[in-house]
Amino acid sequence: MSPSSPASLVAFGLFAAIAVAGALATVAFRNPIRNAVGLFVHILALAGLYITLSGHFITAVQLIVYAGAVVVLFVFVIMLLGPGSSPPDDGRGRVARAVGAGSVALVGAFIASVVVQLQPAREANPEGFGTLEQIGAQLFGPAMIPFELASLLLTAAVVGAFAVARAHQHKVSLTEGDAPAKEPRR
Amino acid sequence: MTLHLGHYLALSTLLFTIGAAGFLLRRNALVALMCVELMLNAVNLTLVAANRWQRPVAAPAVTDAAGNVVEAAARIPQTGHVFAFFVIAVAAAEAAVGLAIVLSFYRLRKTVRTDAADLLRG
Amino acid sequence: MRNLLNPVDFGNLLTAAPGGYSVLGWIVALPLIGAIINGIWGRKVGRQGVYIAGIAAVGTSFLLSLLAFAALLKSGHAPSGEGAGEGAEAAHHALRALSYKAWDWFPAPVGRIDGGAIRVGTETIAMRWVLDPLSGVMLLVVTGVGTLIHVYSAGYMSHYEGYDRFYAYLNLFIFAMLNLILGDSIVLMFLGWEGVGLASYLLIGFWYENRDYAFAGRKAFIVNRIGDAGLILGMTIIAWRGGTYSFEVLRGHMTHARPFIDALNEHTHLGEFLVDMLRLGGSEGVAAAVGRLDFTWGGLACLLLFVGCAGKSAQIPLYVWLPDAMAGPTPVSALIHAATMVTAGIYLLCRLSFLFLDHPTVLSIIALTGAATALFAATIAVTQVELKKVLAYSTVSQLGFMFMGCGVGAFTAGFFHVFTHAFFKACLFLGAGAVMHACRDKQDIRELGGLRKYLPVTAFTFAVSTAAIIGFPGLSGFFSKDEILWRAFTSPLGVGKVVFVMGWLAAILTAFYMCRLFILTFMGEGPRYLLAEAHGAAVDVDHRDHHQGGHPDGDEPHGHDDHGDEDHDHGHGHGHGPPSEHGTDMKLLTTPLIVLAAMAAVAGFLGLPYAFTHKEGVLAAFLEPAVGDAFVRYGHAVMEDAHKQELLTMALGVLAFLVGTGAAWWVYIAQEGKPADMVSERVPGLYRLVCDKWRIDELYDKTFVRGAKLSAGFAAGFDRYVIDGLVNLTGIVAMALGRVVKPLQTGAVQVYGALIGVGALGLVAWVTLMPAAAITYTASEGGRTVLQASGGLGYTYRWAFFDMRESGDENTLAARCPMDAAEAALSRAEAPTAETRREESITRPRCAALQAESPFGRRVTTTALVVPAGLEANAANGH
Repeated sequence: MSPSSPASLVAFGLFAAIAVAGALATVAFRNPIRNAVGLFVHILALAGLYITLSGHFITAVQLIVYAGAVVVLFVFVIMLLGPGSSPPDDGRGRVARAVGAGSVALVGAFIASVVVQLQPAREANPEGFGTLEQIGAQLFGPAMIPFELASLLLTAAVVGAFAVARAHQHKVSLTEGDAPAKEPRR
Repeated sequence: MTLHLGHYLALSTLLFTIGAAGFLLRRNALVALMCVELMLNAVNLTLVAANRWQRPVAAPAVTDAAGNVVEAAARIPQTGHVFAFFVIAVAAAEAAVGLAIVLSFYRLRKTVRTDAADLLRG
Repeated sequence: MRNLLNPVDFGNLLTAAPGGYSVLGWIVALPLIGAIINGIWGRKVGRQGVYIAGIAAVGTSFLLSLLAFAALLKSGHAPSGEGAGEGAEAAHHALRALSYKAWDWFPAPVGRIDGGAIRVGTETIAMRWVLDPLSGVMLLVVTGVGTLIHVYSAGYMSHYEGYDRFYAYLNLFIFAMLNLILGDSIVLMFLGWEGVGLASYLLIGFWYENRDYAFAGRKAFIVNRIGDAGLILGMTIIAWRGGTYSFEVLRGHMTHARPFIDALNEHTHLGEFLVDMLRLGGSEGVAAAVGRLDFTWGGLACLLLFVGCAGKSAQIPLYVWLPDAMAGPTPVSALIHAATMVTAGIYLLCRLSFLFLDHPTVLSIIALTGAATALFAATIAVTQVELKKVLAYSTVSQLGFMFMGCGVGAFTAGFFHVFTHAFFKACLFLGAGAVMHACRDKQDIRELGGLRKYLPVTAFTFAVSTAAIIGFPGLSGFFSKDEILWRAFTSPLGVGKVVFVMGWLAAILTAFYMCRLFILTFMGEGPRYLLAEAHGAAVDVDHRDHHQGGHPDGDEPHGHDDHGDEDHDHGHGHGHGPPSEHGTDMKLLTTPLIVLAAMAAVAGFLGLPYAFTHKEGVLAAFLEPAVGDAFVRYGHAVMEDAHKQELLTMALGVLAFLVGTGAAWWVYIAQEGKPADMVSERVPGLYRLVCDKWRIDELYDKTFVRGAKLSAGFAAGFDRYVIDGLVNLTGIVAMALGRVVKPLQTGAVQVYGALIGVGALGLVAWVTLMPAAAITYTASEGGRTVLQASGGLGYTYRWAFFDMRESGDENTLAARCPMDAAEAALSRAEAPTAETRREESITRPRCAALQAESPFGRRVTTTALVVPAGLEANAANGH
């Protein structure tokens, strides 16, 4: 889609509105499940925005990884912890929240008003990049080493998540600061 | 009216601000993690959008089988997309580890409120 | 270092190899090796091993010293000093000497005279030892007497523990003393100087379990530090204004280098303030007198060096440590505190005699100090009742004689007395040690007596040495002391006659107290403590002995049980029997006594007076190239005149001897001590005062020690309340501030994140609202220049280029690319762009102007002078 075509304008406006709404839902709702749904909507809207930017491959990855895996993981944890884990009240009054939201909105508007003026002097690149083939050529070409390192990172994350989340055999209490420190082994 | 990079950047700014505000203001650790995802997504949007307006790079001249020099067309770089891909990978890892920490924390404190993590208090 | 480790080249033993005379290195190193062996493996090698290692190290060193001395004698003949004028001076300068350098030590700063101003240069201090006539004689004395005393110690230490430590210290002492003697520079000498001080401290406090002995060691150390402070200051002045640390080079500077002589002769003007104050007070006469005392730098250096010498050689007012130093084992008293270390001060005076001779005022001070010490210590010695105390004050007194000699310009005479004194005083101390060894560590002469029957060898050698020290005609002390007195009498210095009278009185007292000592110890009826025991009063006497004995468990009679097995066959008087000289350890004690007594008898013939032989003494003639003498400066007429009076002073010396000895004979033999008792009863106040050593120690306690303690207390209080208070105050302030800001530390990470976010936002807002612009560029060949603008978020940039302005005198950016021109150029320039990078073809230096506009319309302009590649040099010159 050319950036000047009405279709792209409409798509941008629509997806942008949904993305902002989703983001607000993610932040604002009290119930974690609703937050997760907001995040899901936001992610879908971003995938749509990527399409307007000719990001074919990235759209697919967004849907698979974010919508498919990350959000599901969130929902899974929310289910696991149950409703009692999340207190209904943040402990702050309406006014405080309104002031917080207002100042954040102001800051966002300020920066957005600056940033929106950043217009490059050149035209948008034509369609036809960001396909699976081209990205793949990049990933297995110049970006080979970072790509492999990313796999290493994911492995480390899996091991780390497992190590952190598994049930501890020795009860360590963080409330008591005098937990016996283990001798670091060399 | 034509869409410009600036519009995407402004949108991204808004999303990032919402995410950052949520991260800083919400006391629910799960929501804070989701807000981190929001911020990462905002950055991804910036990267992919900037790729659309990135200057093409001149491809090196190639000699074909007959020995003629073939001028290749200028190539549009994919840096933004590749970078966004890596950000997604990092985000996935971050979500996994972050949620594991939340689980572990919940097991200790029976809550996911971040106020409960205050061992750094002076 | 390599030379030192190489096997000695036996072909070169008597001549110096090109690399130096390496035997010197061995002489110095052997005692150190002995000290290391005894110090580290002393327990392993056992008693015999320690004795053998210790004695062998020093004995070998002594044999090598004999060899080195022979080599020195062979290396050339002393220049004949008589009437050779310039030639003699040159030969005097080209002193014959052997030297050996082991390695370079460190570079030290010295003064360099550069067109009248003194600048800092460097001189390499080397581990270099020099054997010249002066150090040669001293070397023989130290290693020779040292060897004898090491042998003696094997007997003396036979019933004490800690023999390994003792021998390690003794060897260490010899090592340090050899560095002191042979070192070619003041720095190396100072190393030895401090080394002997350390060894002395360790050996005085050898029986450190006894509190008094440990205190005595500390006292010696501290009093010596006072002297050392003077020594260091003197050294510094010499290095600064004399331009060197080396004795040899300094002598050269003093004889040839005019600038250094002038620098040392410059007046210090240190007393000018005092003089001005006196003038203001109207005391013109006193002011003039003080003004005359305004020392030159050289004189000040000499005075300070003398302070150091006075500390080491126990002169007034720093003599107080030496009597207390008798707390150490008796061989130590003999070796360190009588024969060798305490003469280091005189040795240094002789070493630097060429310098001291230029400062008659300082020499007068030295002479007066020496005379006063000689007389003062002699009066104390008269009343002391402990063997070693009498000998200690006698040593102080004799050291006074030596300083007296140096002070009247007769350095060779002073050194001659060092030489003879080493033998007879070592013999006396060792004899005292033998007496104590044989008599259950008793040394109160009131309890001894009649020992000549039991200890005949000791008594005989003691008698010979006593005769030598009191100036029995023909023995060594007679010649050396008379030479000093004669030189004092004939000295052209104003103080000469006064010094002579004081010295003569001291000589009378010396004869008196030494004879008293001998009579009470060796003559009369058998040991009085044995007689007392026979009368059943043993407990009483033993009790009194407790504080005076040279042993920690003084009143415990030594049974054979505590000697160990090898001593079981001894028949001498350790136990309850009468003292005797049988047994191995007593043999070890008496052998050195015989040698030393023989030396004490004959050593004087090395310095026969001019009156007998009509030529200079052998020793004096030998020393003359190395040691200066005021005689040489006075000229022939004075010398002729002086020689006429030699017989007169000699007669006076004999008279002193006769008077002192006669008085002692009358008091202690003819009247059996009654007159002494009578005196103590008639004038009890004076008697007690002298007996208490004029209460000088108490005076020092009241003044200096108390003052030091008060100031220390003040400093401690100042530190505790003021300095610590300040430190604590900073802590309190920090803590209070911490308490104020502590609530900010909520522990909630999100709050910290929020604060960081606010800060970052502030920064972004700042750079956005307040525009800033800067130009950087890279120029490449051919005029292609890439310019880069830096600014902030959302900026737009407008570029303009204009020609550089040729300005006559100023070469600044403001002058070359003025702002008004930039504004004019910008007004004609193209539309603004958001791009920060711009390419331009610039072939000659031009000005670039950049106008940056922030998203809110604020503008800022900057300029830069763009110089194409290859033209930078021209641009820098401001063509």
